[in-house]
Amino acid sequence: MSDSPALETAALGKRYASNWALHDCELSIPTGSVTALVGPNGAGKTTLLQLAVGLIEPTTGTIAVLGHDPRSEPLAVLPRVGFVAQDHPLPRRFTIAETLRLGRELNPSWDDAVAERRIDELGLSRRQRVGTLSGGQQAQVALTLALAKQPQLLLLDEPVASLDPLARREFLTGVLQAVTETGITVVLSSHIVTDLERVCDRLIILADGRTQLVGPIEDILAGHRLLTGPRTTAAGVARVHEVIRESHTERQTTLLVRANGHVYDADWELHEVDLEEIVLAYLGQTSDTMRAAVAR
Amino acid sequence: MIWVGWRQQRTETLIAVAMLALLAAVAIPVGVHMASAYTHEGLGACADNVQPGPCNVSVASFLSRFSGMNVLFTWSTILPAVAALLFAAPFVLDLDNGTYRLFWTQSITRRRWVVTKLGLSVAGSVAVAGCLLALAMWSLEPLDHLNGRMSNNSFDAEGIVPIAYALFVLGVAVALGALWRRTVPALLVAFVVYVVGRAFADSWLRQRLLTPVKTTWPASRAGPNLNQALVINQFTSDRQGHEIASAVGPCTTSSSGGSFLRHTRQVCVQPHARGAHTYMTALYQPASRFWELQSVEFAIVAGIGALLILLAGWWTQRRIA
Repeated sequence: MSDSPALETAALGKRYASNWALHDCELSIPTGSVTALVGPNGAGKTTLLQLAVGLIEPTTGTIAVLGHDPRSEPLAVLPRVGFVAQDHPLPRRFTIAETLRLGRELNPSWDDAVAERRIDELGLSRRQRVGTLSGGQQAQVALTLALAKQPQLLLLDEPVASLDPLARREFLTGVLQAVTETGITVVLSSHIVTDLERVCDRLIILADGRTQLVGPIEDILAGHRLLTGPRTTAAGVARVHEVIRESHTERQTTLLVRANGHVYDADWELHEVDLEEIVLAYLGQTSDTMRAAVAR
Repeated sequence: MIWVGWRQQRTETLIAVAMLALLAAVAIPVGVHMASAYTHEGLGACADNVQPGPCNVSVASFLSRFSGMNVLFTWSTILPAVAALLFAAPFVLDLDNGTYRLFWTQSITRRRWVVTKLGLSVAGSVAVAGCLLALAMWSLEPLDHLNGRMSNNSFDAEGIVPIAYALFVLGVAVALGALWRRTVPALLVAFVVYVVGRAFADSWLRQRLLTPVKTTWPASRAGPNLNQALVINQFTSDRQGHEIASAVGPCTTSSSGGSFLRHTRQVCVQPHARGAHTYMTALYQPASRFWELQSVEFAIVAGIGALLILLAGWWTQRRIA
């Protein structure tokens, strides 16, 4: 693997009219990682991915993909990056065979064997038209196009958003298989947190065009705790730990904190939190678990 | 990329070829029949003969029998426009339904995609217009001998102007498509722009492209043969060619009026001589200026089309996303 990060941004920003879709974004995504880019709709996930593949131009700052600027050096970036856009667009009138030929014609590093094997595994006929496939199958064909390019970096924009839970699982299994086979770096955006943990080892939380949290999922899980105790203010805890979210009932207070070192406090009952709760907390929402903890 | 571009406009090409074949299936048999009738009835000698006599009778009979061909080819000038809209569709559709994001993230530059797609659209549009005008010029030859090619229905179907209009429609469609990124409205508006543009050129622009010839002659004698000319105006006048008020109104031929579907033999009613000092004056484009007029109109219309195509390409490459 090369020394440069798969994706690196500096002061990256993108403005549409007067609205910053992405603002002052500083990121470094190491090669070999599988990163989930999480945030609500409109958080800037699509903007970041489209900047990475050169579909749009930054308003401020820079982005380097595999060490190159995707906008000024497209041919140094595009052949090494597989990209599946939101809603996985494909020419609907093409048959599967023609879609594969499209990939072969437009990509010098195309690997027919990879493409053919994946289509076989999906159980699709070469003569079937893309427009007649289900959403899940279309997503899989789009992923096949991206993978047969033999990219070093795979960017997936909301690949599972429009899929039912079964198709979602199957799609993520396909990604996971590619990761284990080729060690490819993956960045996938999603507003659905479910299932991501199975595939991803790093997390970026984006909200309102800014990064809220970046790091390995393992560390994130280890670093956050849910504290419940008798009703009080968060001030005491906040002196040591970062309070992400607090909620109160008449008799009880519940805090989700980003722990600074080991949390030990006899006043508080400690709980582990799962990824979804952490994400929701950062996005300013109260998770069911937290509500349940408050109700206890 | 060429294969991909071709595959994306294959259906459109087949539709265009089918339309051409349908037209040829009608025009070729009738054209063969018309050419043989022309020879058998000895009309070649009548082309320039405007005097009353047997020639006029046979010409009139021939024209009435085959006027349908003129109507057919007048309507068929819409075909290259429709074909150009069809060939604009794959380009606009990619922008409309987001598949451009697929193509632009393969290992090719955006410029290559734009150039290939627009290049294939241009090639298809020009090919269809070229086939149609070859068919028109072959089929209409006998009629052109008798009528000339300066009337709108011939002028729009023959020469090089049909290619210019194909490029014009294509340009409007892809430019609107690039800016708007909605296929159906863009193509519909492009078609409307085409119809308005054609009507404008037929009824106003064409006669002003070159300074017309002005001829004055005594009304008691026969004037120049204007049968095959594009007559802009004809009126009674004094000797210097100044119009005399309250004279017989100007002759209305196909040079006026907004419809490009009109097909009239340009015969102007000569007023009865109202005295030795009455003169007739005609403003017209002589038939010999056919290619000159065609070239000027081609340069203007195809020029606008080419600029719009370049605008669409530039906008797509620079501005989209």
